[in-house]
Amino acid sequence: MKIRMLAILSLVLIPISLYFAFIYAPTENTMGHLQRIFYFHVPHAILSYVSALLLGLGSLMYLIKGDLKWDRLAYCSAELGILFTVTTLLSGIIWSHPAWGTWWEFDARPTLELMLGLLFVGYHMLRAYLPERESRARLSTVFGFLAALDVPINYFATYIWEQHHPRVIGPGGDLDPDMGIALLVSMITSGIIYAYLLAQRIEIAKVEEEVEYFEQVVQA
Amino acid sequence: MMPSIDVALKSIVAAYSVIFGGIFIFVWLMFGRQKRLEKKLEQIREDMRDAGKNQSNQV
Repeated sequence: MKIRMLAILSLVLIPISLYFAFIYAPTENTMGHLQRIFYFHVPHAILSYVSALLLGLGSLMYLIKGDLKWDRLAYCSAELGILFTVTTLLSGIIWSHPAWGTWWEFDARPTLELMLGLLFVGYHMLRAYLPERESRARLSTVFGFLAALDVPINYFATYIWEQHHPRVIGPGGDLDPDMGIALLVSMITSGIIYAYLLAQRIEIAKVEEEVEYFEQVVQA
Repeated sequence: MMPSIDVALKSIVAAYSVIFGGIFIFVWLMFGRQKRLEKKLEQIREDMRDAGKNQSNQV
């Protein structure tokens, strides 16, 4: 029921956030309309960080408590992490071509975002090679910690290294208040979409585990 | 340099298609997987029920 509510809320909020991104928010002075990509690029980047942090938290809690529900949280958020890093990177690439005149710039932030995406993929590749449930959960935590470690470095990359990537939010950012409101609306929308996807994915993971358990029982 | 409106609009359409298309594909794959798993679970339960019946008949 809660999951269905999240799905309905997401569907209601998407057109509202698009209204804020395309009509309510003023046109930016240097980049013009191209800057409107930012209203979904930034929330998706933040949600890729959230995925990494949830993956790290799930991995840590699994090692402490030994409860497989934490491992479930970890691998479901890692799967969402792949989706959100891909959308972040691709929307960034589409923006950078007209803005910087190149598809890809080896700046610290996009490179670290790419690394984060590869860590999520590596996490699932490792799990695919480990048939035993407990060892799969235990060994894959290494990737979980690496992904969580990538987040602060990625966030502070624009402050540590001199680079092209714009610094819009946080210290040193100068965002128009109306643009800030539009960004906030799209962040709430993306957050609710994320919550829906994660909750739904966890439900499916429970069925997956049930199938795996029954298969083992039948084989035995 | 500000990109032309034509370039900006093309980029916006492409970026938003990637973002919402990505979410749509993810949801689609997720529900596909859920359906497959539910079918498989039902099949396993039926197999186990049949195996249980056979055992009781043999006894």
